[in-house]
Amino acid sequence: MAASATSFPRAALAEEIAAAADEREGDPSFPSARIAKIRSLAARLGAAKVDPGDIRHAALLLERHAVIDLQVPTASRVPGVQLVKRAVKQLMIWYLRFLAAQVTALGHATARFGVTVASRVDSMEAEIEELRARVARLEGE
Amino acid sequence: MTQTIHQFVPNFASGDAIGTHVRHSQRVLRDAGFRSEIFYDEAQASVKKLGRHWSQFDRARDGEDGRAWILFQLSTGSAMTDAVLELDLPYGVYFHNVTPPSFFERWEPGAAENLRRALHDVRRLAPRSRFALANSRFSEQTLVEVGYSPTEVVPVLFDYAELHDAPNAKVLARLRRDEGTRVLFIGRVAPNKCQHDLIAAVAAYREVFDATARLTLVGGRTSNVYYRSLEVLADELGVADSVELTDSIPDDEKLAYWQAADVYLNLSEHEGFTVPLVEAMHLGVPIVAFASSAVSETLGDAGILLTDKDPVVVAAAIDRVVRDEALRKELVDAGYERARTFAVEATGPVLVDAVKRAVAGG
Repeated sequence: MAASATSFPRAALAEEIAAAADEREGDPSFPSARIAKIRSLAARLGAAKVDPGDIRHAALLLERHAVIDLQVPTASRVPGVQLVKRAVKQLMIWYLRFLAAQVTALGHATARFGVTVASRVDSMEAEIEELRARVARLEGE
Repeated sequence: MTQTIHQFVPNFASGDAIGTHVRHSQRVLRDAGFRSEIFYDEAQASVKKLGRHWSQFDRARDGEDGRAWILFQLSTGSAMTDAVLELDLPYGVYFHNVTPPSFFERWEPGAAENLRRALHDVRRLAPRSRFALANSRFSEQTLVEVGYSPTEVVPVLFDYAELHDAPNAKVLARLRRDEGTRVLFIGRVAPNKCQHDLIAAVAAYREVFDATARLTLVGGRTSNVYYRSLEVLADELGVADSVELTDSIPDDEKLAYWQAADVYLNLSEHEGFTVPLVEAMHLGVPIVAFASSAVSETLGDAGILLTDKDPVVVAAAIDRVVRDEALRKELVDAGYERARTFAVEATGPVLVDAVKRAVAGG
């Protein structure tokens, strides 16, 4: 489809918006530290590969794998075996549910612990960075 | 003589883009005089009766002893690929695109493996394919690269009528009670759709422009780990109360979110065709989007296309759309005009002509 005539040429508009963002960022009241945190946390999820030290990702994987699938496959090529498997599944399901609920709860609790630790480590790292910058400033004075 | 072209679709669902496309394709092909049935590998209960499992395909009866054609809806790895090759009937493909496995590697290794299989199937089907249709020029490029010929672009078929049902009144009332700019994204929760960038952009927008803004992410989960990471991200950024992940919701609720939206934001990095962008245009919701994959060609001039998705740049774009009445009106009007080109009344004949040409060419 041919581009229609517009009062706001789109390419120029995108440039204008980028310039407005730059200008805003140069303003003394701009919340730089907060925006830096937003950029850094979002960038983590955008990375194609996981940082080996990413505790959050490890915790979430743990949480995912802590969910026990109770739908045990019962298919079989051997005649009659499928019926036996189904019967065993029916007999065991109450027991499996009881165990699975505990394993899942443990997984979730561990994952929550991992995410909490990661957040604490992040805020400590941020504080250390800030202190380093202050020490460097004081040493320079 | 009446010509036959059956559709083969690996996953047949009622509400997704592929399922809707398949149903409309069947209708327009039948209206044009073709005999056309749907065969699937897996199907949602609600649409099962509209087709049959592919194992029930009878080459003599359904395949008319080699005279019938197959239109394979290609989007995922499936046992149907072998079936199509073994049936030895003339076939063409409609390519919905396949997400690069690299997006899923980190989150869902199993899904990444399935996508690799899908790409392998795309290559396996190429040599004997008689024609190939793609949902966008972006997708067509992949077909050309792996050797399909001839190729043609036929946009995804869907009907705007479904967008004019009544929205869920309760949800709409709740949404309208809230103050602040309401930003919306609709699409499955998947790493290639970059919902984390949406959360970051809205967090920045709240910080710099409108502290009451809200983001709604509508869509089921393709990756559970990614979904949970989004919840954790929103929590860590202190915006958990302003970011709503709805998961899968009924259509009437989705319509309520459309009606309440001030801006539709899309920062996806890989899309073969983007139905929600067209829906946003049709419904008069102004769009801010990142210029990637097929997003640019779907949107055309009917939205703000960014080449940088830094949270502050995106926030500035949202602010401009919300504050600049004249720009907003121009984007909405351009959207209405562009959406008309994707209506099934316009795209249906494109599909029929493409299939007629292919079948006539043998």
